[in-house]
Amino acid sequence: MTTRSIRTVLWFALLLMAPVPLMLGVASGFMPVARALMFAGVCLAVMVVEGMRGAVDLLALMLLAQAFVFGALWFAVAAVAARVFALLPRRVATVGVVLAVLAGVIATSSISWYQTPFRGAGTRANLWEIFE
Amino acid sequence: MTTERPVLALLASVLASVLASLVALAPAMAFERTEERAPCAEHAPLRRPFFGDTHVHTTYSYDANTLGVRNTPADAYRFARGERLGIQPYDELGHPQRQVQLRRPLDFAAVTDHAELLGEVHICTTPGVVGYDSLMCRINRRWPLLAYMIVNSAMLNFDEPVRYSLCGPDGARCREAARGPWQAIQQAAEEAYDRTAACRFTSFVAYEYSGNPFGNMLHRNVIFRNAAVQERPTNYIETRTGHELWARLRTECLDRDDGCDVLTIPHNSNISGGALFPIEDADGVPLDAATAALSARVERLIEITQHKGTSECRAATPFAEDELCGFELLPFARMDQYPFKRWWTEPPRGVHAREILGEGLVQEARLGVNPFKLGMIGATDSHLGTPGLTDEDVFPGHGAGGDTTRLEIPRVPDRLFFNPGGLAAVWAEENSRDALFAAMQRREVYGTSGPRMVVRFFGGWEYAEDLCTAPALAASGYAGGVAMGGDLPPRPPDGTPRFVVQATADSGDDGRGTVGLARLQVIKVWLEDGISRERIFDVAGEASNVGAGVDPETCLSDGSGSTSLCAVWHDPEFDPAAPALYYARVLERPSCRWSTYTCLREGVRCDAEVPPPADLAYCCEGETPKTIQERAWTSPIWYGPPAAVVATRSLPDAD
Repeated sequence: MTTRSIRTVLWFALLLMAPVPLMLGVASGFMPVARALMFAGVCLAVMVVEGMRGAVDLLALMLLAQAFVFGALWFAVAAVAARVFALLPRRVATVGVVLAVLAGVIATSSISWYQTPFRGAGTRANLWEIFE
Repeated sequence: MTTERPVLALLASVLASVLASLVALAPAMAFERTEERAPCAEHAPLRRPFFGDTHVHTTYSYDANTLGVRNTPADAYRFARGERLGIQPYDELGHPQRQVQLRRPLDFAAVTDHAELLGEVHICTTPGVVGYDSLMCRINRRWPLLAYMIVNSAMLNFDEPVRYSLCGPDGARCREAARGPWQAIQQAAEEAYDRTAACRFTSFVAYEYSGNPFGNMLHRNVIFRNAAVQERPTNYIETRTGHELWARLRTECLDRDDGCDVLTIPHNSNISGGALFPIEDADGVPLDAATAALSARVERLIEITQHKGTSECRAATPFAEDELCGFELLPFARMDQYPFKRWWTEPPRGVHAREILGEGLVQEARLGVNPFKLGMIGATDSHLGTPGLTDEDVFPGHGAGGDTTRLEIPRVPDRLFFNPGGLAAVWAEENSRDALFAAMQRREVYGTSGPRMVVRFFGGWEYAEDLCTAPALAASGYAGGVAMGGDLPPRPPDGTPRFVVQATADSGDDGRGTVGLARLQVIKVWLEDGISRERIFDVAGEASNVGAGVDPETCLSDGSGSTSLCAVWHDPEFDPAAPALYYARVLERPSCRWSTYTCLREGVRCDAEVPPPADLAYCCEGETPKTIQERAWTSPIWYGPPAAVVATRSLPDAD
């Protein structure tokens, strides 16, 4: 893997798995950036189908803003990590990246790290439940 | 035997004559029977207080539904009658994780689900109905809190709401779908209503009209007298002002000849931005006499306290320093401000009941009719389907406003600035719809912040100074004047109004324990130079007791305070030319607030080395009051001078 591809893989993994605080006025949670992007997408879909009414545009903006901030943060983290991996032999780096991502998947799948008031049932969720 | 019978006969004849004289002294205005039902076995000519809740939401309300409430109107009425009820959160099998029960059943209740979005809730929760698979309904079912934030902000918190596409191009699908829940609401009320002679429980068919233009709460509960009701509830989406609401109620109810009668009860004027009681329309045209008369006909009461704060008065005014106005005041001016503290602002003038009542005097001087002649009640505004659940020590939260226990039971059940709400007390001859409704119409009602203290308030011109010790206070009260909610009779020459206020503490037989009374006050609002002014008079009890009475470390009462207080008071500053109104406020000794009970329940120790968790930090910080003084507010009694005197003395700038 090239440094760029390592950075991309790690960034996507962080976006999908790393929990970040998300605040939406009366509700707040601790969930991956991808979840915020998903809700932003839902709000945008509502705006397209139903028009801009009430706070849907504000919600979309808040979601996108927070996703942008944490997305940028994770990009920086991924870039630094990629540079570290780049110091290793390519095969070792690739294995290291794969293992790191796998460890993340296993950890976030087996433990309910995330906290979200938006689900249909239960505030705590693991990786699969948060996107269900 | 031979000697007993004459004695019994004599006793019987004395008793009969006493009863006859009491009945003769009883208020002349009896209620009219407008429905078929058995007469109540218990009938009190001098009236007795019935306690109830006229503001309750269930799963038919969109906000409650998306915040996880599953109780129906039928469940709410079962709860009001004393049954246990499961509330959120629910487990995967649908079993409620909490159970609640009233310590004492209510005498009456009205389920008041939001008229707005009744149809939308039905469509989105009924598989197979056209619209069920729409985008909004899918979001509704999959991410209910997100749906709440999107839809509530657009429909209930927006100046010009438009229905979603799931309702069809003209919204007809949702309007039509609202018939189902509206029928279910009526059916639940009918099934809960005790039409037997036992008269154990009364239900009212009702709904809430809820608009929030620009975040200003324009909410009114609409209560029907009997089973003759509107074909469909009026909602803010199609009817944008209170005046239009009353006009629709007139054409769709009052003008009918089937006994349909209705009243509206506004609430949360404290977060209305002053828009709940407008004195001019959007174009600046002043209120006219016809509209004022319609308002006076339909709107007889105001909900002075409920979950989202008390609306009596502001903590300080230019004209009266009332240190007791700080009771359960919200710290913001509009509901849309509450998520962020930096958004909070002070409420403008004209949002508190005392100011509104004073404005009524101003308008009456201008128009000849008082559009804001309002009696006072309390209610819960429960969104959990739990009418009357006002006990501070078991407060489970409110179930709406964006805060939800849908998914888990929090340590702190609600935002610290909210509270469990209050109750309505209605003086009526019997527990039937007609008797209670007539009492509400004549404003012979009072509100409490939860406890069931019994309060009488009469006004007249010639009450005896020793009336409090007289055996028949109520009979004399009615015979010599008017009860709360009425107008003082014409003033005799040199007359000074006298008021009798009598209060008995809540017996505490609900397990809460007796909290004695601290004091009685009479609040006077009058018109002077075209401006309403106010003054507070202590008439019985001890003002210096404030602050004592309960140990906040244990919430145990010290047992002090009075079991009853009574006073005959005359207005020492009476000006016969000044329109005025008077209402009584009854204060209990301090007791623990719900937030203090929470600290105790969670075992928070402020002297511990480890500080409490963030959500319980308030327990040791001092910003949140540890104790409160529960209270009751009576409906006012009005005094109106001869019109000619008003014109010359009270309105110098009128011409």
